[in-house]
Amino acid sequence: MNPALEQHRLMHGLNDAERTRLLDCAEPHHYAVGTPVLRQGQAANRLVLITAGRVEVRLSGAGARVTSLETLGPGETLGWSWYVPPGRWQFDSWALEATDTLEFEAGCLRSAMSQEHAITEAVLGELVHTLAHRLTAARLRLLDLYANPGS
Amino acid sequence: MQTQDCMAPRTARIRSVTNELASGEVFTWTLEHTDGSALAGNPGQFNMLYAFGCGEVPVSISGRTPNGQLQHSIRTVGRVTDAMRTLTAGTEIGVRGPFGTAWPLDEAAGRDLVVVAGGLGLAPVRPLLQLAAADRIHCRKTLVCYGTRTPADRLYPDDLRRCAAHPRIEVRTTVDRGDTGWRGEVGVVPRLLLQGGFDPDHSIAVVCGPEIMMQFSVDALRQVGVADRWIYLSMERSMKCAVGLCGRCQWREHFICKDGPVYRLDQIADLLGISEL
Ligand SMILES: Cc1cc2nc3c(=O)[nH]c(=O)nc-3n(C[C@H](O)[C@H](O)[C@H](O)COP(=O)(O)OP(=O)(O)OC[C@H]3O[C@@H](n4cnc5c(N)ncnc54)[C@H](O)[C@@H]3O)c2cc1C
Repeated sequence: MNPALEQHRLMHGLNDAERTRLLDCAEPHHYAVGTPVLRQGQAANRLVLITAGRVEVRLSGAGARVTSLETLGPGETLGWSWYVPPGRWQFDSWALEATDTLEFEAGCLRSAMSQEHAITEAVLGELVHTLAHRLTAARLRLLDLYANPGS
Repeated sequence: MQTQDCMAPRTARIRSVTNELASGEVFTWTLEHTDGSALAGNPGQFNMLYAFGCGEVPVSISGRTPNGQLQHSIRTVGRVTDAMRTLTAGTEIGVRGPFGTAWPLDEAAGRDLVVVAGGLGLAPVRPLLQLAAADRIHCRKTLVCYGTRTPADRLYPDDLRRCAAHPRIEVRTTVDRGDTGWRGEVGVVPRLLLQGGFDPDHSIAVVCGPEIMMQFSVDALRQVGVADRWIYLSMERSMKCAVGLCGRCQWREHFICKDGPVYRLDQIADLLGISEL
């Protein structure tokens, strides 16, 4: 197994059999620069782990300006909408560079989670980590980190 | 500087004025003594700059020109700095200083130098970028992490480019809000530190920016394993006399003007983030 993947939170606490079970759900993908990884509004069907490259998460809406929310890189996950109703991607994401991912199919993940408690813990551990990180980032941006203290 | 004359400004001349942002909100003065010689001062220190008839403000040293003239970058935020914006090359101003503590360049020897800056906080560390690009800091490598609100707010693009082209300097920049042309990172500056790329056990970090940004950068540095003893911050608080007499910049037992502005984190860790102080 790729050493970076072995160390990843998604693998934490899993024995060999559970790792194999989880990785059975995964397939590698490659995205050329400037191509979409996830499209806002479409059915959310997978969890994406970035293994190389960089992905930009964007928010867009009819008539609204496209807003870049965050850039993500190797070791980071995106695509949690499969776990959260209504099960549609909430954001667009595009490959800013040639990007490699490992993508876990949602149905397979759900079934692995329902059978193996350790897999549920590992996947939800990664979800909580990601949410906490993004929440902190959003709060920091609200604080306007670079503002003049008096402004 | 002698205490007896430290309250009397010396006259200096603005040799040139450079706009750093398209908005004109930040500009850089290159200063010289009236006889053309260079002003003294080390990276991290500041001068009290006096616009005659208007007032005096503390401003960090933001670099030197290739022929050694001292530079200060100023953001227009109020009465004095607004007046300063109207001054042109050739105008004489008053200067007191240099004051305060400097970045500990000697301590960077053999270590990874991690420079973390937010917004105008790049100004006081810009001398470090200039020295690193000229191989005049004996560190192993330099990592520059710089965050701004938008791409248009980024300062010193030429210095950043020069650093990025240097084989032992890595530059990471991030913005809160990208624009259509921006292909770099979007996110807050502490996140750049979590991407690693330096040896936390053999690093020295210098952090400069608004206090809230420094706090979160310190959290990230600690998270990746940099010890407080190897983290330096520049504290900028309102000050008046600059020599530890008036108490305006007092921060519990510290007078930032003379004990700082550059502090080692383990000397002030218990004060950082206490909003009442
Ligand atoms: C050690 C030190 C180094 C500094 N280095 C630089 C520098 O390199 N470039 C630069 O542009 N400024 C720097 N400053 C900040 C600068 O001194 C102030 O922006 C300036 O004093 C404001 O004066 P003013 O009369 O224009 O504004 P004022 O009318 O006095 O204030 C206008 C607004 O600016 C805010 N303000 C006042 N003082 C500060 C401060 N210290 N930091 C942030 N906001 C402040 C006030 O709260 C107010 O809201 C430094 C300050 C210190 C203490």
